[in-house]
Amino acid sequence: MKRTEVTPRKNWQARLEELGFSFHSVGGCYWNEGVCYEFSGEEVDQVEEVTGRLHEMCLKAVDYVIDRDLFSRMGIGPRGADLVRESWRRDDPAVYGRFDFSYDGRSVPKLLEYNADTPTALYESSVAQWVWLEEVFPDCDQFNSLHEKLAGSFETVKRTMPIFSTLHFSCIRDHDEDLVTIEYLRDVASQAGIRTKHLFIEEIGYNDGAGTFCDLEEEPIEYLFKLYPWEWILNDEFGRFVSTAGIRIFEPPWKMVLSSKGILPVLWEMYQGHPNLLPSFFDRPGGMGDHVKKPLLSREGANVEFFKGDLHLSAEGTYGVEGYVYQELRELPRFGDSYAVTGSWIVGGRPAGIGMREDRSPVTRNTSRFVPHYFKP
Amino acid sequence: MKRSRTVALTLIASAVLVAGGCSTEEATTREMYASKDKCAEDWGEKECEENESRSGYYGPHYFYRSGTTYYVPRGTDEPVPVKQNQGFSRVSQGTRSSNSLTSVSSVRTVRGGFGSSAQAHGGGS
Repeated sequence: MKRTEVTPRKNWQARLEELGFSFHSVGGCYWNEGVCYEFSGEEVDQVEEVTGRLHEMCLKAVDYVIDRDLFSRMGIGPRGADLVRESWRRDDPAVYGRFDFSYDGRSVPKLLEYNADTPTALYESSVAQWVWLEEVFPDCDQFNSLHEKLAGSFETVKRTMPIFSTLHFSCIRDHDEDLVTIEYLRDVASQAGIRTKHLFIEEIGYNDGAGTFCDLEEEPIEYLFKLYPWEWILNDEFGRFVSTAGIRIFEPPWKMVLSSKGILPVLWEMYQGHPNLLPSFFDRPGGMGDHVKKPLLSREGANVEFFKGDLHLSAEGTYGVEGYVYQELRELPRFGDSYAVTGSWIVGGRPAGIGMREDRSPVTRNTSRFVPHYFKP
Repeated sequence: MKRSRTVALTLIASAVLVAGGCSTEEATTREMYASKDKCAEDWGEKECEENESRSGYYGPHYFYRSGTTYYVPRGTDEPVPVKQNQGFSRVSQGTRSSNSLTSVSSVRTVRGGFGSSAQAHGGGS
């Protein structure tokens, strides 16, 4: 695994915009094709194998949490817990998720966290870096089967829906990245043969008489794919209607268990000493030296705190009220002046590719740069 | 196999052009009538809707605003003032039509009940 400098395509901004990737320069420079990561086939195989194994472990962890009623430890309230149990019993299909690894190609990947509910950086992982590969390294390969696996995943979703029903796709207003991500997912679902509609999350209506959610044309919303965290859904005013409104939501409620950082100590409790896990605990550092304190529910590195010797770094944010977990510090590998995190996708229960993010800070944030990758077959 | 063979997209290039919709929030009331004729006297025949489960007829949704009674004609989403030739124009706020059996309060569609958490945390997902 190495980071190499490459010459950006002369028209790279225009090429990305043609693809609908409108936020390529958010924060100054989000998409960075002046560098790239080169992997060996063996390294890709390793990441793929670890991703699949961790996914299986996570599914067992959902059972573990439900059986032991550990919801409050995960930051999930009674209403969320009921939805989790129900959707798990019903075996609601999940579409996608992203494991974030600390991986340098020399030691085994270590799980930092699992973005199981609303993972982003999807479109750039699936489409933008694929087009880059075809134009810059056409003789090389890329760990990237996201697009076809997403199509397969939506075909699974379609089989759970009555014929002629609609899958609504929703995200917040005025957020380019979320809009592009949700429209990409809707595009793939449409190609899988699902009737789809888009509306912003703020536009979702609740019809008091019918007791159902509805769209702007008053069509009942029975199936909803939301790019909006479950804990936000349940905390919002309409959250109290979710369990009675006859709505099926993707990602399914059982993903709440996996998107909570509480899954890290649960996995450690279940698989203590596992080579791809870091020691993690609820409530206290547990005698660890250098460690990271993470809110149970947070996004994009917000409110994460580093404790390394006398050094204490903290990221700003508005999270943490539900509690924290403590994870042994495993710094991201440093390439030049950047720390790199390997985001490994799981789609329809199968490993589906990676996306590399970089930052000058050891904490990956929503503005961390996306850097394409390739491997030599 | 690691690589994607085909990436065909139809929607995504226009993603940023998705238009927003409007927000509606209005508590309304409907009158319940024993017969279509009684309902039609108040609203006109085409505004009356049979409710089989209650063995009666509903008039349209209506509400009062600034001293004016507005109703939502069937098949539309736009409130309009009650017309003088509609019997219900004689009914003022705080009273009830002598034709109706009962008034049923309802909220048509309330919007904006999702999204506040994103505002509180200042961002997207």
